[in-house]
Amino acid sequence: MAQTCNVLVVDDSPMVFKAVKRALEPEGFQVMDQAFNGQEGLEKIAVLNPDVIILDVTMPIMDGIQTAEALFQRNPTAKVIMLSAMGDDDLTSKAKRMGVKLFLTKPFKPEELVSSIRSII
Amino acid sequence: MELKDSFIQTMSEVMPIFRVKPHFKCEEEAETQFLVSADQINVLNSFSHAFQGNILFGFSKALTLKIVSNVKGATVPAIDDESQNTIGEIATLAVNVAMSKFKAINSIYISPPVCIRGENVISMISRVKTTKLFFQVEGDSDLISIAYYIEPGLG
Amino acid sequence: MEQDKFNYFCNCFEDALKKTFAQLAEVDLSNCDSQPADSTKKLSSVVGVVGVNKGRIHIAMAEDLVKKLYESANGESATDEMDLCFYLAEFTNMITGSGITVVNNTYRGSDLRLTPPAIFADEKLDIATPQVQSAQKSYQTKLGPVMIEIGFEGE
Repeated sequence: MAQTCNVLVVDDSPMVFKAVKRALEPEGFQVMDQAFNGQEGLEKIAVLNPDVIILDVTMPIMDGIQTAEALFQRNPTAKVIMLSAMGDDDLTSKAKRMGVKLFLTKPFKPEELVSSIRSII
Repeated sequence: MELKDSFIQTMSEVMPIFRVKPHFKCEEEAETQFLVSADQINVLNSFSHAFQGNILFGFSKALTLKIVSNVKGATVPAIDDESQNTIGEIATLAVNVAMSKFKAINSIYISPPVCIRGENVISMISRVKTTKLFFQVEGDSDLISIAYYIEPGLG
Repeated sequence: MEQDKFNYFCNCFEDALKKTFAQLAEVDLSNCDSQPADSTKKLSSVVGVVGVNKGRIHIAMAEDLVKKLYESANGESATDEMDLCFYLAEFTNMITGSGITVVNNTYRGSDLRLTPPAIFADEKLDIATPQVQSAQKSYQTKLGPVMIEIGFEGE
């Protein structure tokens, strides 16, 4: 039996969390939980140890860029897909230089999210 | 200086220029997530960069007309484009002064003021807790309100 | 702002509006002259733009349309007004984020940033930004009309 891939969503939008669940769960992924800001995200990552982290950029308290910096310092091999309404070249380049595997813009297509995760696990 | 204190000081320094003397009355944190009732005439100033957020000034229609009449030096009978422009500039001035006191003025870019008019306006200016300050205008039953939220930006 | 640049900005945001409606709600927008009638409760979203150019994007639609968009996206009805405001904020974020991405990639060095969205609701809502160059466009959908207004200050 194939091992389930566990995904943590770090995004302050309940709507995005629901959309991710609807896209991934029928494909066999386990969407573990939602963190509403980067600080909460780092705490949940430490406890839940997800296989993949879906990380929003604009969040209160601690944004996605700061979160990614802190995460990659602890775990340089973390598998992160960044999700944002903004996707200008400077932002995406910065994210990828830090170690983010892929950068998707919102709104994302479900099949795009699924294939993105499959490409990095 | 905390942002709340910056606003309190700013209101006592800036508004008398327009012959209105507001005194801090009370503070309210939105208990029910994030929706705050707005006034009849509201001015939104939004900002981003090292900090990001929204600041919403609220005035009654009567108080707005009083302030713009003071500025114009003649009675303004109704809210028109010029009145909205005036109240927008006053609010923006207050935001700039408050942000200077908060030592954030060089770390933010402020977007042009937006005037929002209605009778029963509900607003949501943030997805986290909003703080609302009320100021009693001396010699007037009206209040001026400032609802705001601020958080670190992307820099 | 130069007219060509302003027109380009407007096109970017209008394209983003159409793309987001098509992708999220599978709804096509067709040009129209009407806006939500005054008696309809409207929800408006205002997002500021800051950086080399300063401005704001205002998107307005009837509350009923927002409810239908929410249901289409979430597979269930909104429980209260706050749900709708949250949803509209996220929806607007995607539209303006998409638009500003194209602008920033074309005008490198602009580093235009968006401020957090502010949502307003009322039957008789009037939103104006004094002293900006602005353009407004209305669209009809099978679920109701949508208005987008784009305004920028001169350089």
